[in-house]
Amino acid sequence: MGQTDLQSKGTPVDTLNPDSTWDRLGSIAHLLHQAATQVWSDADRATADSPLHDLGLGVYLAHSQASTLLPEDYELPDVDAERLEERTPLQLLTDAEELTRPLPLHQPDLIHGSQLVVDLCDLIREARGLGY
Amino acid sequence: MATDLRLAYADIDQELFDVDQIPMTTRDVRSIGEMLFDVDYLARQLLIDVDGDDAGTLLRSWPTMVAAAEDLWASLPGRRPGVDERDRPMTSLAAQAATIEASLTGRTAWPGQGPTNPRLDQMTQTLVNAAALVRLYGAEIPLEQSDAHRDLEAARTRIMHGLYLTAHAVNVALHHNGRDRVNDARESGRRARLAQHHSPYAVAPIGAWLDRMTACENTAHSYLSDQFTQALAGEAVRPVEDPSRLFQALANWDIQTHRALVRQLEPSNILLITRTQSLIAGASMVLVDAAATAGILEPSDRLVPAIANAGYSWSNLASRWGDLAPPGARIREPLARAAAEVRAAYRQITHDTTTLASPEVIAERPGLPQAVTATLRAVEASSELAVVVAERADNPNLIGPARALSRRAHNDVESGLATPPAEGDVVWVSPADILAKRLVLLPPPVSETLRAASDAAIDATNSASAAATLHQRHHKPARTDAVPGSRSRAAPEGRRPPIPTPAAARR
Repeated sequence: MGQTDLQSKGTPVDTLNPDSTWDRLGSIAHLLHQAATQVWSDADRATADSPLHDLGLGVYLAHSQASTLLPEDYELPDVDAERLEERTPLQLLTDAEELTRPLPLHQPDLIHGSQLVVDLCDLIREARGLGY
Repeated sequence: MATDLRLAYADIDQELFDVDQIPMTTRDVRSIGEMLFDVDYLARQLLIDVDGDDAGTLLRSWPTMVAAAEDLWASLPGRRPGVDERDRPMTSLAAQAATIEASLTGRTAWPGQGPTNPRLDQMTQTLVNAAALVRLYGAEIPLEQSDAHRDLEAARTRIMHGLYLTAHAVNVALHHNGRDRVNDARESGRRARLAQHHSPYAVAPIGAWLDRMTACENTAHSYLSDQFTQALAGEAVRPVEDPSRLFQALANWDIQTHRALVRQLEPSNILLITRTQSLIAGASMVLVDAAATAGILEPSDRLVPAIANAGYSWSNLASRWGDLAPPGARIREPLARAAAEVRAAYRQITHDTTTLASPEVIAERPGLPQAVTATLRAVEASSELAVVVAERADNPNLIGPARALSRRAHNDVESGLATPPAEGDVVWVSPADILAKRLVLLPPPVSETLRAASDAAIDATNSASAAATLHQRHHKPARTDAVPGSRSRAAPEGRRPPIPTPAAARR
């Protein structure tokens, strides 16, 4: 082993400061909100029993999970809405999943973060299965 | 010391995440944090890509991965003497995995002997490397410092998080595998006997493995959600095979929507309500179709179109409330939980894991009669909910994001849905408000079309409700009187909603 210190190199286990954690979650909320809007927009053009309605609701519930992890007085960072609209729902979901990777899930405030990760991976798989 | 010319990880970064190739290295130069990060990464990729063909290899690899995780867990410094409550989930998980290992040893029936899963093997090796690293240098950790305590807690969470994701992936693979078996049997003309619990695809020999892997997943999840004590007492996880699940979910949804709508409710909550109603309509169509296929409901040329129309009207209304709901808006937790359970309960009967099942497949599922009764009652009840939701559109103080409302106002006027202004072209929302991303009052065209969409939802749900009521007279309902929380949907026919009337006359 070439390592002499448990924390001396690479990705530390816990270095995120609270601000960047909340901004990260805020960005995730933005991405998931946009993804839900786009999936529902597609669903509204499909049949009433289209599975897209179900996927849209799943994405919106994931958005709700991410929003619930944020402090009550937190204000979401500004984003370029037009740029988000250019991305597909699958890209938005994948972006959101990538943003969850460094989250300090052991912190009491993020106790339901693991569930969010599992739900995002399930939604990505489902979105792929529906042709996104 | 002989010179070893094999590469180190740092020299072959690109191959580090290649699941098909575990690079042969002389040494692993990753830190503990990086190793656990890699396990997390691989578990996520596994969960995203997993399919039924992976089930056997995953099952064979799972016990070894848990053993490696348990060893890493045990190697972490700072353990208290005697039994530590904090360690019990890991101990339970290891015991569960050990019994799986024992069952697999020497087994000839599925999954039998065979290859293991490269991704899980890579995760296992990473956990083994991490444990070796901790054993070498763990004594140097200054346990008296709070930072060190936090790092150790983070490491435990990361270990359990990786196991949770992986256990979930194994379960997904098992479900897919069961579905593939059922489909294969059907294609070859054999009769597939669907399972009576878990999911219909928990067919032999998948069902028993699903039980065991679900127990593992629940144990890991309970640690991460801080519910291990309740899980031990059998309180944290309700059985998914409960045939009254959809009844309970819809009854709770009914209660939570009414409770929420009593108060001043933000548009994000109304968006959730209307979209969930749209889902209920769509899923009801699927169940009615399957019930007709199964012969437990008379085919009708009125019921399905009426429900479809109700679904469209809920979706249209939802898209308008969606304009008013900003990203990051909080949803009332009981409402979100109730919506999530409605979605999960429908999916249990209408979906093949993540895709919609065919009516023929759903027709064979146990619990379909109860589900049809539950869903028709929900359709019946939706007309009253539409009236309550419509009242929310009558609020003159409704506000929403300037950009979305500007776009909606112009589109509605241009498409003729809203009354065109007498003064010609009108700027409904000031560019300054759009630029500053302000929340503004609803422009008149948006208010008008929101009310119109609400009225349309009342009309459509009234028709669907009447059709559902009529149909239930011809359909012997499954017994539901033991369902807790079920409201007065079983009221005498005389008290049910009468012939639909135009919304304008009712409001």
